[in-house]
Amino acid sequence: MRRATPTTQAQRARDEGLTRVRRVTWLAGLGAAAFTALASLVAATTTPGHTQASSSPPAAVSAGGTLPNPTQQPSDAGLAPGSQPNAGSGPVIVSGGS
Amino acid sequence: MVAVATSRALSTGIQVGVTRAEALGAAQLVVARRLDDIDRAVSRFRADSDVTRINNAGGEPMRVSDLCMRAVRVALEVAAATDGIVDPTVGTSMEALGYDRDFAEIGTPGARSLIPAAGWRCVDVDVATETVRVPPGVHLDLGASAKALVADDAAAETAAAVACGVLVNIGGDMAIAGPPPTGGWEVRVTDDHAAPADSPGQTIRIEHGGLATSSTTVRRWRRGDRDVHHIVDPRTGEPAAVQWRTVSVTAPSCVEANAATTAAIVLGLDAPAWLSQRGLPARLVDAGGAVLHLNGWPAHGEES
Repeated sequence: MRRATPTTQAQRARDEGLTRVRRVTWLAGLGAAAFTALASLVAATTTPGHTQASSSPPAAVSAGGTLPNPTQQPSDAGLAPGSQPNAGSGPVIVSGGS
Repeated sequence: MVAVATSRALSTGIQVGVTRAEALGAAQLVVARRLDDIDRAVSRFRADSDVTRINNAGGEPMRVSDLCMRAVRVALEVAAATDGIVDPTVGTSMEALGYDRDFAEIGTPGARSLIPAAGWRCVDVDVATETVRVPPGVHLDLGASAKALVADDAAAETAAAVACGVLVNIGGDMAIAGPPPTGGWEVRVTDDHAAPADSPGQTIRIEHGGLATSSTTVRRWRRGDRDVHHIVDPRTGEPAAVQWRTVSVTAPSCVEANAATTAAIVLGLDAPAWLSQRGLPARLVDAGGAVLHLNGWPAHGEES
């Protein structure tokens, strides 16, 4: 019959210690997960919001860039009111249908 | 000192303005050359034009000049930018309406079935082989965008050639290049580009870019028992319903301005929102003569 040696006693003590450490680690993980879930629930109920897909404007339709894109700011052509036309002062530049 | 010369080409009125009077003759020569070039490239009524050869090619690719290739590509860009509201394949629709010859020769065509445009996506452009192809029976009409294109080109080329400010006005659609006169170019905006200076309208000043006006009050003819005009809704092949009789727009170029005025006439009630989304200053005159100014177009100075 084999007797327990000092080495095997030390191994047993070490194994029991490791088991305690694993149990503590598992319980700590479980606690952390529970805390995270609780924190998420609190955040969701106290600061409600919604997801934004994108804050940028929709893609332009124009293929060739011929016209300003939708939502563009007014283009500045240096426009201003003019004076009263004078029919007797020579050719007047006219924009009209043709 | 500003000088302006008035002439006629492409079946419409032409004006060339310069900010240095002694440059006027040279400027006119440059513009006349560009007008001749575009007529040979895109006229529907010349047997020898590139567009006539494309239209009559029976669906085969047709090799064309650089200028025609550019005009076709610009027309397709305009069509894409307007979601097909301005479409170069309305040639067939125009012919069905009776506009199948020079406007002065139309007369009173009988009523034929309306033909919606085939749609710009059916136009094949091959840059590598310098060819354009349309399906059999589809005819191009590049009229509006091509005139605007030549206004932009001619103004830029002339300003560089004569080293002063230049305005080129082709049938009411104009482009400005070089330094403008002090305070800008003074322009009368009205229904008809050939109207006298005191016609109802508004006088504005513009310093750069392009200005175009489209109107349903001009280029009208009788078809069967009804009056029709030349701005066709490509979706139906019919002349656009007259919500706005005249629309003027300023934009960075004459091509853009012309595309917007044509689109606005076709869009009708949807035009103000469409123009505002694009930030284009515009003046719209409804069928009854009421005027709407949008996006920074000056309201002052309207005269009826």
